[in-house]
Amino acid sequence: MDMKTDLGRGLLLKNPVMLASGTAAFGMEFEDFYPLEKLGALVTKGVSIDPIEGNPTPRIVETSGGMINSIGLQNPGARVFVEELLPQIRKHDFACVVNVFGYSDEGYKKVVEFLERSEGIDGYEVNISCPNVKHGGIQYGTNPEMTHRLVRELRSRTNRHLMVKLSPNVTDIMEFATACEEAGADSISLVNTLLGMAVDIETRRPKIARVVGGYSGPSIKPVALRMVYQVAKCVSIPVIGIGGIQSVKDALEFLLVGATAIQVGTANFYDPGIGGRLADELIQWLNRHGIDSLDDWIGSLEV
Amino acid sequence: MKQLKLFLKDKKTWFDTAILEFLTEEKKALAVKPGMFFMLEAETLLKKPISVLDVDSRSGSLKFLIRRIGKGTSFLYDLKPGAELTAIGPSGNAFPDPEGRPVLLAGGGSGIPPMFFLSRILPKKTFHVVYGGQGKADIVPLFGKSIPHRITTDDGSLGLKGTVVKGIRKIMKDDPQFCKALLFSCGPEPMVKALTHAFPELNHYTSLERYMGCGFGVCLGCVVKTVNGIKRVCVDGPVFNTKDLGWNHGHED
Repeated sequence: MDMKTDLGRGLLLKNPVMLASGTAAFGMEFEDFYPLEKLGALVTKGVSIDPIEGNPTPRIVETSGGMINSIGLQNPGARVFVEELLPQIRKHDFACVVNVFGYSDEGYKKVVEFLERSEGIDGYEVNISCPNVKHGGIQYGTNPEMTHRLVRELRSRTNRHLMVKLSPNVTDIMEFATACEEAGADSISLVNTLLGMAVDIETRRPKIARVVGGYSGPSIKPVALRMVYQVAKCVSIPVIGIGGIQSVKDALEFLLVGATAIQVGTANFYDPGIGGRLADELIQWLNRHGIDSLDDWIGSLEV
Repeated sequence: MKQLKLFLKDKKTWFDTAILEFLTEEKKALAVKPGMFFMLEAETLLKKPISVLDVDSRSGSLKFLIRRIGKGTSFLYDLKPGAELTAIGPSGNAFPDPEGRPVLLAGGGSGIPPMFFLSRILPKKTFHVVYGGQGKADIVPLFGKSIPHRITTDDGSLGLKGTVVKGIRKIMKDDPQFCKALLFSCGPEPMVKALTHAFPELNHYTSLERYMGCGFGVCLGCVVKTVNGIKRVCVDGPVFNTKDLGWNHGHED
């Protein structure tokens, strides 16, 4: 069974299963649950040029059908990433996509320029959709002009694969996808979390210290699936589907509506074996249904 | 760390608390130490961190104490023998080995499991347990007569009327070797902070309780500020020295 999937500009995955940024740290914790070689790719926790401490706690709360997080991009910064974490990642055979974040154009440019000096990075995922920071992140991902400008700036600074992760908190997702494509992005990943909120009626306080946070989990899948479908139809670059995937059926649905690869997010928290299992189960399912290659399945939805 | 299945062999209840005894053959799970915990499936999306009460590696038994508070813990409380659960663990560090030095084990309410676990493995005569609660219903009859322990309740319905601080003062008076003992604690944060204020001279390790997303170090939901930077309670803890938490000099986390 040919499970390879090509995201363009040299980012060829051995299978379409990726771990989503912020739900897998830098991958190493999953070694206890399955051989990491089973993965197509890992998308790292967001990396910024300088270390970020993140938001006050509570940062996480479970809600109906999902959870809200407000971590605030806690990370050790690009230098520690390159010197201490990247060598660990590179002991394994899977594509390493580094999620990059900045508080401003300068911040994004600096982190990419810094990472360009290191070997072993297969691509970048530009985080313009984190809802848990005052500046950067979703500020860019909800303004098509800023999206276009930033992607163009980063495009001129790297020949590596450039993936842009979009926010679902917009009226017209296609406008943002088109802006990315026009500015030179190689692929688009979506969706990041939906802005959400949870409160406690006994204490009359928000359940997340920063009041609002990013809502994720199985309940966001229909929204994500719709957006992936819309974007896959309107751009010609590959689309990576993210949002509530917790089974092989969910993964197949995103691929069916046009995703070239998928990312598993929140499910990593409660089912840490899922990444390795999905890679196996996708092959088994396609085999059972007499489908010869992943390419034959991708985008084969009949409307 | 493993993703494993647990089979419920037996359950005992005491008011809102249940003691669940599971069976497993997973060797890594049975190598668990006091202070460590498992993430237990609880009919919720996220698994719930529950610390280990006792282990018997020969019979393959793992015991947990569950206090019925929310949706997840109520599901666990209501489980019937024969049930099968998915769990992740064992997670976390453990209380340090006192290496024969005297140690006070202070547990408040549902924070008693690691203290009970320690009382099962520490050499006799080197430790004394203090078990505090608001009232009788909070105090599960765990400790036999051969285990040196003192019970305190806020309302005086069982044991000494007062808090674990009062219990420790009493133990120190009765047996001066505990005046310079190590202090291990687990319980509500006000209790632990009261202990740090009452006994600032003691080397005090506490097991923190936090809301956790994953329980194995990737979500960064359960972090705590320490003098050594931001740490994850689930894998860098849950046991911390209270000095490292800054609790001995008036800082809040």
